[in-house]
Amino acid sequence: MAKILIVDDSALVRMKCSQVLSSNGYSVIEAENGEEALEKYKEHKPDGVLMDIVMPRMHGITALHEIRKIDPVARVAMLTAMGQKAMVTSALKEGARDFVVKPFREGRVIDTIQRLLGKTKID
Amino acid sequence: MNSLLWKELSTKPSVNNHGAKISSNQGAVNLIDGQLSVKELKTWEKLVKKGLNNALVGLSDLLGHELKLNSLNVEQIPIRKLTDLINSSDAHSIGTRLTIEGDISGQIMLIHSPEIAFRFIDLLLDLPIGTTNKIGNLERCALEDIGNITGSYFLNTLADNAGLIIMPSPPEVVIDRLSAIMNTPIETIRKQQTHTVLVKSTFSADSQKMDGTFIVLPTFDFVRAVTQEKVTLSERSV
Repeated sequence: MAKILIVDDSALVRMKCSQVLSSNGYSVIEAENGEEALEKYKEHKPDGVLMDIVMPRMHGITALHEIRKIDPVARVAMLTAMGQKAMVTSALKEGARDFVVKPFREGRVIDTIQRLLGKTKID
Repeated sequence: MNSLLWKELSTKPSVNNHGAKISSNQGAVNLIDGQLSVKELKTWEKLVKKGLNNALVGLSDLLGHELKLNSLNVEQIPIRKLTDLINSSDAHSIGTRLTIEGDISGQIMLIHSPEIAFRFIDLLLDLPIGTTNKIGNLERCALEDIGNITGSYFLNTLADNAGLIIMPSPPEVVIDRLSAIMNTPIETIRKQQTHTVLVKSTFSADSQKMDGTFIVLPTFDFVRAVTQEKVTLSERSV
């Protein structure tokens, strides 16, 4: 069972994502901010990460950067309402594999995770 | 929302072809404190309208109900006057604040009466209308999500216009008198300038009795940064 780390300061978003992923056969780990995401990543070594950007303590782009330092092939997709073109460019430069704009649809989240994990096999 | 308060805030504005009101007492001459010219205000107003419509697309998508912009007022006023009028209001409200910090800064607030805020929460949580009657952790989280989507979509339009990244703070829900909700954002702006550009808009849904007030208090530097010609990303730190 593939492990997915959901990083978002919104409990509602984490709950919705978790429900979607769990009902599609994924194991889910949650973190409330970038700092917690780093700890959870080191501890659980998830197969994929869904990462919010605007969060307290450490925002998502910094967390992405730090996770990629720990694991250069980390599979991270951004899940955010911050769909600014320059933000998308910045996230992709930092190594994000995909960008899901909130409010998200169930199918989009599943497609994103499947693509992330598909890249695992190719890599 | 105290409608009399907002009526008082309007300083005999002129109405332009976008239906927005722009204060008529700010010309290109005798500008003090780095105030915006009429031309700059009009450019800002056009961008704000585009941003608000985008914000309502995001919010409609989140709630599953189509929301439409009803009114938009863009005015340049002394902060002292805004403070005096806000302090005269006892209206109890629920506000969600987002702060933009950095080289360009500003404040965004989404304000509802408690009854309307409860209705928004019911919609987001898929509850029958009338279920929510208090704000606990889950309800606060729902309001934060609503503020996050609305504020982020608004800022996305402004950021894309100038090729910038504009990062807001995580949303903060405040339940208090309108004057208390507005006090922190106003004092933050006051540290930098004596006047401000108040953006006040209202929106509603046809199928549900829902409305809200979206307020933006940018610094002048913020307005000038987002209304300028787009620059290449390499010219700006992102």
